Amino acid sequence: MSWKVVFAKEFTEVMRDKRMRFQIFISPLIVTPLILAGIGTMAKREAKESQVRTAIVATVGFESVPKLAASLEATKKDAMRFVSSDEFSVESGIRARKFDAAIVLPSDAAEREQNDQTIPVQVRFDVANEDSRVSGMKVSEFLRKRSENIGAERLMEAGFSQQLAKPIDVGEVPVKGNGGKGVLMMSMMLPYMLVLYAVVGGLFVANDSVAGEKERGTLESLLVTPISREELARGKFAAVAAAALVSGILSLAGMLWPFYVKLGAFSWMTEGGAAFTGFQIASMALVLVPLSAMGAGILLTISTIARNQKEAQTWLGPVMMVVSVLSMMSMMMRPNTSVLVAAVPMLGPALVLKQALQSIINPAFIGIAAGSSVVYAILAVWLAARMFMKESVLLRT
Amino acid sequence: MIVVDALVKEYTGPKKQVTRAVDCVSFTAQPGEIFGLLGPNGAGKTTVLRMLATILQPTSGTAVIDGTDIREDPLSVRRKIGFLTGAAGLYDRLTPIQNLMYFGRLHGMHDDRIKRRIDTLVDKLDIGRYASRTCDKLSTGEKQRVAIARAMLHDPRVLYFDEPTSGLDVLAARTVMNFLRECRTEGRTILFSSHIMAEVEALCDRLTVIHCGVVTATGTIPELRERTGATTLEQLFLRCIGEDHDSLMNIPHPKGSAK
Repeated sequence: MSWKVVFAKEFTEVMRDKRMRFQIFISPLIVTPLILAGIGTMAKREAKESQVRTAIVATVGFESVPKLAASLEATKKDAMRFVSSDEFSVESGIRARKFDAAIVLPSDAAEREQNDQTIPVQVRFDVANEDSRVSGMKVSEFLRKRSENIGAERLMEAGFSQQLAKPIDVGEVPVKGNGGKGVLMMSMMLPYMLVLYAVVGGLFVANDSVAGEKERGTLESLLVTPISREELARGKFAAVAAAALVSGILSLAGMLWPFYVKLGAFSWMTEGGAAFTGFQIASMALVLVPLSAMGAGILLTISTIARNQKEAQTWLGPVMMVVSVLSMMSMMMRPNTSVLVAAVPMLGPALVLKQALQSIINPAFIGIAAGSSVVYAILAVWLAARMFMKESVLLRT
Repeated sequence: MIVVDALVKEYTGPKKQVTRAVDCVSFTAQPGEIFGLLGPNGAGKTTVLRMLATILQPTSGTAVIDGTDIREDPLSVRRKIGFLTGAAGLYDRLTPIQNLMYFGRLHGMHDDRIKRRIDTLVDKLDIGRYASRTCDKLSTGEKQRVAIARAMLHDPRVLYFDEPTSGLDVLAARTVMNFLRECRTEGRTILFSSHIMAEVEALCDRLTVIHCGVVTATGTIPELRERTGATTLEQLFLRCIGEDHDSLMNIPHPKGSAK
């Protein structure tokens, strides 16, 4: 059981290194939630500012319908400022950010108004410009409400009930129990973060444990001790996997604690609360364990092949890219997609995490994702052990 | 006792080309003897030592270390040997005591025995002053003392020294040299690899000269002097490896030819 001696020593070293302590404990538990809080607070403030700012709206054809124009002008309050323009200048004006949006009336607007016909109104805005997009939506909503009111006034003038124009009154009632908007947002981001931490959480430990030993000249001293290379590889693998698993679990804890510690900075994320069941947490753990083992196997293989830590980091670049892309794909995919996707490394487990956060229970998907992750983990560990046995690889300096 | 029998080590390159780093090396080192491996850089000394330490697997040939064949039972061989190089090879984030505890446990020693051995070695090598400081704060000489303690922790009967004074200052080098002499007095078998003539002359009872992986001469220094007719150890070494160009320079050039 010499691997336990190696494991214990590796972990003692981890605890003594500020860099590793930061990556395994501080970053997932504190830094990541704080970054999220910062991003959320900033996004919320920006959205609010976007809503309250006065939109500059170009108007085309208002002079032909003075009655309607006056009615719009009188009810728009401070949310908008109308600027008269012409058909040819509005689009270039929006693109140049001179106007936020434009209301364009047709050339026969006056005739339609006189005949009590519907006037088709165009609201133009730039989808690539956040201020313009929000202003466009604001103007559309304003015109829709004005249209309803004018219609109601006309019915009243004609002696009919206003309700004739509104046979259905829609009211939205969000169902509670599965958490609020924050949980939905978390189900987009958390799988990515968890997979990333679980796979690369052991990065520094892996780099230090073989490539670092080659670099510092300690590997030779280790290889002359009466411990088999299998045991040595096992001890080092256990240390890297433990670091990755701790990092993965702490990143989960880092995402959950804001829901229980009511801080203003997290309100955007935690409003509506969270509802995590034992099943959700168990299914997350089920995929995190093999994921950490697979990550540890890959990292240890790279660290063994590399001559030094610098070379290991160079090799890690493309690996990080693949891990990021695969786990990021989970953000864009529906959680209950085809079960075949469950077998895709990183993506399958990320989708299981997404399902768990959205209270979707799909045992077949969980089974395939966990099972395939175990197979990938075994392959990665086998590869790492094989590299460790090769003297031409292990003694490369 | 170390009996090396026709050790060969070949490496295969990326284009399948085979390089023979060690070619049929044989020698015997007796207990209570410092046996030198003398050769220029890249001669194959470290490869020989690594094979004898079972870090590398020989392509052919074998060696018996204190009665155990390196091919048949490498783990038992490692229990019998101590290895010291110029690089201390200590874990910087651990203290000397933690380093020694770690290596003791890897040798399968019980904690009580490790502690007793550490107490003895700390006293003997004067490590006490910095025993609880992390190794990254130690001087090169202090680190080398800890490395010596590590090599001796499990009380090995056979010791390998691979250029143990390289990069050390005079004081640290003297500690290593004194330690080597003490080990000889205690009857241990010592293999000492170096390219520094003065050290070899001062320490080695017998030596073997290796060049390009091949043993070119073996014997005591007086024997080798007599055989080569060399007056200095440097001349002896150069003659053994066939690089004594100075003697060629003394041969008069033909009349009129450019020097």
